Amino acid sequence: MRIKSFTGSSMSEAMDKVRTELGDDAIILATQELPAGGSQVTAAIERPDPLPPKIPPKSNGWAADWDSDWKQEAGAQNTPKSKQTTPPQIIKKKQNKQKIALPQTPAEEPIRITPRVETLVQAMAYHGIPTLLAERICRSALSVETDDITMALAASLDKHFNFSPRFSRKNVPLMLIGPPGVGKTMTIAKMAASATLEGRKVHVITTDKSRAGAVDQLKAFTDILKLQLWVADGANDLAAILAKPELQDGSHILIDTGGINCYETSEIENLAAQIVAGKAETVIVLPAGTDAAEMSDTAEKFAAIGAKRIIVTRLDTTRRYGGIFTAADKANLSFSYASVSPSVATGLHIINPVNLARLLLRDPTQQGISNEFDKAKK
Amino acid sequence: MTDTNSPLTDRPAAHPATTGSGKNLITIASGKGGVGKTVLAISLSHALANAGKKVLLFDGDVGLANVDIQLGIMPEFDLASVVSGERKLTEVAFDFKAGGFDIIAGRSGSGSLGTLDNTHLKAVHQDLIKLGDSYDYIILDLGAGIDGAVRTLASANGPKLVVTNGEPTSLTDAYAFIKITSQQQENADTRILVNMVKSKTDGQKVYDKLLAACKNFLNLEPPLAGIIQQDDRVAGAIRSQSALLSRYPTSPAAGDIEKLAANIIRGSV
Repeated sequence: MRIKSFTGSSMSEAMDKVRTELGDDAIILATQELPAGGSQVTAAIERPDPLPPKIPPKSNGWAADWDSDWKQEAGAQNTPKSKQTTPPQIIKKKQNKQKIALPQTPAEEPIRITPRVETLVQAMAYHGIPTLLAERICRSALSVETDDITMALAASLDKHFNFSPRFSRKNVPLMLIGPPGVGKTMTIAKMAASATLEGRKVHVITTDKSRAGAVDQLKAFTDILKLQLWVADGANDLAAILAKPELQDGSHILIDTGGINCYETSEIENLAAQIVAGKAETVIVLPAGTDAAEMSDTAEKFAAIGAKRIIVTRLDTTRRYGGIFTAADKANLSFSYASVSPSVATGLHIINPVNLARLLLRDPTQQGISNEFDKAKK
Repeated sequence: MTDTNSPLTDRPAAHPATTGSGKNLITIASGKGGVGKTVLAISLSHALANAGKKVLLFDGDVGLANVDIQLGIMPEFDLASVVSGERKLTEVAFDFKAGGFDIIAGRSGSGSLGTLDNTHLKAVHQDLIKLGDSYDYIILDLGAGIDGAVRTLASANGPKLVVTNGEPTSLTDAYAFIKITSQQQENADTRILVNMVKSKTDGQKVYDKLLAACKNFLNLEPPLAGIIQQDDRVAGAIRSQSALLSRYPTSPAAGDIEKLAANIIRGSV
């Protein structure tokens, strides 16, 4: 903004001066009759300044490499390239000069930093979503034409992640795998409980024989639900149990496994054998709130032996969710269910793009994380 | 594509949706220097303390700090001790007994503070917001300019009092501060504080000018926080290195600042 005062023998003369010097876009901030006679007008003009600071294009990058779908959206200016089909020798000479003379137009449309960008970027940073992934998510979200930032983010998450809560056909057993203590047994208990409440029959098998009290823990739940708990000792035993006539009634079969150290080849191989023996669909169970790099390493290990979906636990006891997104991105996992409560009766919640967006944007000091999911349910 | 080591894993303490954080942090800004920010910040802290509030005055003019000079105090520790890692921010508050409030001083001429990088500055700023839990108010005396350091320190959610004395340069710079803040923060709580004017009427005119510019060019209507009259005793207090409210408690400027403090406590500013 430029401020300038103009004086004249009359108000209209001063006004004329304003118009002559500053033009029609000037606004009058104040007018005043001067004690010595004459009039003074204080006017101001704002120069065209439509370009707030920008996120630099990728060459000097806020991040060095973002995905191809963004490039297609923003950098659809392929026209200048066609000019480069002139003889190479002439170009070589000219290129050096041209580089100095005219700065090259960046291929990508830079993002203007607005409060909305700030909010998104700060939310990504808060959750510790790594830069490249965060940038992809933010750029897509900002390209969505809506004023609702949650919906824009949801649309972006829908684009960058897979969501497939429904498990496959009934005749394929479902097997939960993961590191120790992530809540596999609780998740099995929740699944069995909600199936029983809905009047569906399920069979529950556990292969977790080694850990002290593991069978008892699950048995406490299956007893309440009046279900038989089958205990399998290794891959062969699992195959034998699955072949039993009692389990051929078409009901869904849930298989709990012992937590393993995914960095120990023998343990991974043992689990892989169980997956093969069980002919099961495997889902990895991981808790929210852990380190993003560690979580994605772990996810990749389990994805390598067949996990295609992820169930996220501990969303209620954690507040930083970057790891979930990193793991799903790195290991190419589909989001399925979330555990947002320690109570078995509460069951699991479906993860969809909208409630994930809410999760990222919500004020973490607010109570009741499950609200974000309950809202999305109906 | 290894993507897990990144600046974004340098994670903020508060989520942007947590609007409560930093609400009690009152920023005194102006864009232009020499419009009386520091003496206002000191006197406002003093007036709030006199009204029974627990107040911390933070000298945010990193590198050219002078709250300590104006008050003639020599704190054992200051912001420089924090940046060097010698002390935590919570441990360097100086108990200014004469005023009844705490002070975190900067260190004038400190190279390490003057060139403080944004990462350190952000860390200090976040610690300051956290420190707000143990005070009723934190008064943040910002430096002049609108550079990165000023913008980082001005990014808290609390009210920002933009000081102008009505001179064209001061109006332009105050406007620039309001504009930048509005671009950086959604619904920024920016208010205009007119300082060093002859009368309330003159002050109102200054406010009207700045308001007209904000309305027309930014579509914003920052409210008037208060008008502080020109008062020679302010300069006298600075020269004698003592607090205005101690040395000239009945001066017009002191009265205006007490009114401002009362409005802040009432929540109307």
